[in-house]
This record gives sequence, C-alpha cells and structure tokens, in this order.
Amino acid sequence: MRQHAIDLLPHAVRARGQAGVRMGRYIGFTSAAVVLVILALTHVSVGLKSAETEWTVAREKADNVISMEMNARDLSEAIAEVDAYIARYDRLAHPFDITHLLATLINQMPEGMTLEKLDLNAGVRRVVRTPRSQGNRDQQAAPRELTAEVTGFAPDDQTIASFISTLRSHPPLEEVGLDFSRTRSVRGCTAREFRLSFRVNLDLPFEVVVSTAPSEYQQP
Amino acid sequence: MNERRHLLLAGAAGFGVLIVGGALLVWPRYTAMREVRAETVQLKEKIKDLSGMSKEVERLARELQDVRTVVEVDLKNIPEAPDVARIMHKLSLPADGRTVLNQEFAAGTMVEISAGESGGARAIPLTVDMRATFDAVVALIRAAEQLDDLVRVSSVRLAADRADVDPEVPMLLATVGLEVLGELPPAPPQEEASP
Repeated sequence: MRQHAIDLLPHAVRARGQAGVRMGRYIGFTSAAVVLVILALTHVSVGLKSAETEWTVAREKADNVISMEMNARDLSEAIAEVDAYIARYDRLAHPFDITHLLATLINQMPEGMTLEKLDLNAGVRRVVRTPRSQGNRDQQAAPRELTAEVTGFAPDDQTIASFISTLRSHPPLEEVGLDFSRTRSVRGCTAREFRLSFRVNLDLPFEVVVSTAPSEYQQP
Repeated sequence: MNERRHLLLAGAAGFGVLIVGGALLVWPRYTAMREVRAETVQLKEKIKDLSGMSKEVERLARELQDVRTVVEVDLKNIPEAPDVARIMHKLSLPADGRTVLNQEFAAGTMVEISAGESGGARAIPLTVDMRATFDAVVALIRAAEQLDDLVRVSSVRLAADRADVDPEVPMLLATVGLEVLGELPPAPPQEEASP
C-alpha cells in the first residue's frame, strides 16, 4: 500500500528554517575564505620574517664587501688622478735632459773636429691641419720636437761623414743630415766647414744609458 | 531566488573575501618577501667574491703606492705659480772674468702651455745670455735641469766668441732659453646663463 507524505509544517516555519540554512552557508563560505586568508597571511609573514633575518645576516657579511668595493673605487679614482698628472707631466717635460744630448754630441765628435755654433730649439712642431682636423685642435696636443743645427769645421769630408754616421746610429737623433760642406781656411790651414742638422721626437720616451761613452740613449 | 542561486552567491562572497584579503594583506607581504630574498641572493653573491675583492683592493693599493712613488721620486714639482726670481737666484753665476765674463737674465710674459687632453700649465720664458766657457754654460743648463721645480730648456744657442783673445780658454756667446712652469689657476665656476 502506497502512502503519501503529508507536510504539516507551517510555511512560515519552513521559510525561517531555509533562511537559516542559507545564512549558515554564507557564514560558512566567508569563514572558510577568512581562514584561508589568515593561513596564507601567516605563511607569508613567517616567510617574510625568515627572509628578513636571512637578509640581515647576509647584509652584515656583505657590508665588508661593500666597504671593500667603495675602497677599491676610491683607489681606482686616486690611481686615475695620479696617472692623469703623470700624463700631463710627460707632455710638459722633456723626455731627457738637454745636457745629456749635448754630452752625446760632444763625445761622438771625431778627433780634429771643432764646433763653432750650436743651435737647439725644443718646441711644438708646426703641422698643417685640414679643416676637418681643426675641430679637434683643443683635444689633440701638437707634436713636440727638438731641432738642432751644428756648425763647425773638420780636417776633411771623411771626418764629417764619420761624425754624421755616428750620430745616425744614436736612437734619439733622427733625420741627421749634412746641410753643406765647403773649404775654409782656419788659422792658415785648409779645413772643411760644415753644417749639419737633426731632429729629436720629444713625444717618445727615452732613457739615458751610461755606457763606455758618457751618455747614450735608447728607446725603452 | 532559488537555492542554487543562493549557493552561488555564498560561494561568490567567500571568493570575494579571499580575493580582497589576498590582495590587501597577503600580496604586499609576498612581494616584499620576494624582493628581500632576491636582495639576499645578490648579497650572497657578493659575499662569495669577498676574497677576490680583498685581493683586488690589495692590488690597487700597491698600484697606487707605485704611481705615487713614481711621482715623488721621478717627477719634479710643478709649483702653483712660476717663481722666476728664485730660479734666477739659483742660476746666477759669479762673473769671475775667467770662466764667466757676463751673464744676463731676461724674463718674458706668462703664457699658457697646452698639454692636450690632460690639461696644461703656465710658463714664464726666461732667457739667459752669457759670455762664458763651454763648461760654465753646460753647468748652468745642468743646474736648471736639476732644480726641484720643473724648468724646461727650450733653446740653446752657442757660438764661438769672435772677440775672444785667449785661445787657451775659448769663450762662447751663449743664449739659453728656459721656461719656468707653474700650475694653471683653477677655472672659475661657470654661472648658468639666465633666460
């Protein structure tokens, strides 16, 4: 025999029960979400705290490295400053003493030769600049050189040639050449008057080498 | 509103709380934690390089000492201003009538010397005219080159003295050009052009 369910609960009571169930669902979902948020927040806060502790320890150790880095940077700047001073000094000062050049010249003179006149001029070489290169005039320092003219007399042309050959073998002296050689009477004797000239590049570094001859030069 | 819709709304409310709480509370801490960890990794990388950095600092300190030694030992002083009077005093030779017959100094006007990109200097030309023996002239040039302050020998002109009467001690007419150097004055601060 089949029985039919008879709902005797009043409608108002049923509606109130259903509303309570709905409210419970809202509260349940929201509470679950809040719990999840709190869990995540706790997890992240613990992680952040741990990361900050780790950072503090690493920072203390790295401070030493950072101070060394700053020290290295200061040292590099100081070295660059001194290097700039040395570079400027090298551009201002001659690479060797003029007395050493005079000594080289005098010591290489063959016997019987006499110098009458010596003219040395150290300065900036005049260079012809193109319109394009004139824009860089301030930045590029003009090349420096020493020009020399030596006038004297010798017994014969062989002595003069020997002198020129000897001077050509000395590194700082460039373009050693005879300007002229002519016969001249000196105190009743016939001699050969000559004039020679040479150049020295003052932008190249040289060091003085003391050998059997009192002073010579070589390029390092 | 049926039951299903209420269920969806409750789920949406919970999800909303999750999103808002995550965005306002969790996410800022999470990004801060990531940044701190990234920085910690960088710091640890630096710590690894501690011994290398220590060696680098030692190397740079040695290099600086070396270049300073070069400056102190090998280079001469460039004074703040060229001191011509002191140089003249140091290069002045007594006219003894035997090795030095006379000596004259003539100072020029100050000029600026360019040294390219590395700067420049000021210089006062100083010309020394002498009637003296070769040794006396060379001694003067050597004295100029051995001064503590930087003095350049810019020219040397030697000629036999035709009026010389003593062939045993030949006299020369010498003109030695010197340049007494000094530092360039510091450039005045540039004022900005007003519009």
